[in-house]
Amino acid sequence: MSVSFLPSSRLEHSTTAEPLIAWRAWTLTGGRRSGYLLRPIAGRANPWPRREPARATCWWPQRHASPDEACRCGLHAVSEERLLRWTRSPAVIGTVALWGRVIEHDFGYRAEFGYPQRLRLVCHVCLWRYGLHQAECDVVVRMERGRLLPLCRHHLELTRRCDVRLRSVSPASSVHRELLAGYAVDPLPIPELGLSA
Amino acid sequence: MRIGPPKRVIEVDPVETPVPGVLPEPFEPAPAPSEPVPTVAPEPSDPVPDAPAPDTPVKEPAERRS
Repeated sequence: MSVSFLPSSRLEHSTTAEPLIAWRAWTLTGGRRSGYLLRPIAGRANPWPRREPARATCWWPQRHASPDEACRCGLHAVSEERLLRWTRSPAVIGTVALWGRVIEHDFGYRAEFGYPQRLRLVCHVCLWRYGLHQAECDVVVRMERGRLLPLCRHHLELTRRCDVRLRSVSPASSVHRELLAGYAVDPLPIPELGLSA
Repeated sequence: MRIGPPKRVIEVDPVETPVPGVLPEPFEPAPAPSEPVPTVAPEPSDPVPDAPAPDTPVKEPAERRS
């Protein structure tokens, strides 16, 4: 993620009682027994907990309350779903509620607290090529290091042709259902896509 | 995912938490009064018996002088 900065004194301050709704992408870890978990794409941050807010922390040596205006820390999200198209290999796309201290940027936010609101598994290759409206997936494959990757049938076949070793292949519908149940959220419906633009 | 330069700082203090299943802080009812206020008038106490008339010394009639 790329963030550029301005002196904090130039930033306007405001308050509100309504959580901000933004867009975000995650990778997927876990399994049927332990439950599926959303994990940030960048870095090795902890998974987002189920049924409790994710809280931002800063790993910079001089720790401070997160997010800080002069740092890159915080829970990142973008203001429009089209900006997620170029995310590096996401497994899950969704809307997220942000609250606490939130720093608004030109194209998104860095927040203190966050919790997913609506989620959908996506084929990351289709997302990159066609956009979110045509990123439906059919299976979720488990890769060598335990990473879970949703794919459509076409890109599952291409992956097999490339001799990529897959540990298991599960129906996307069951993984999607258990992911939603774990976080107690609704699916991201297709007609909703693009409404925020 | 690029989010560009910062524009403003927003302090978001939601009335309800956006996390499903997390209830707001439990409502604490006001403590009950130490003594309930009676709603029915108390029954009248037993009538106080009339105080006996003070013993009045019977004055013996003065002896007639013969």
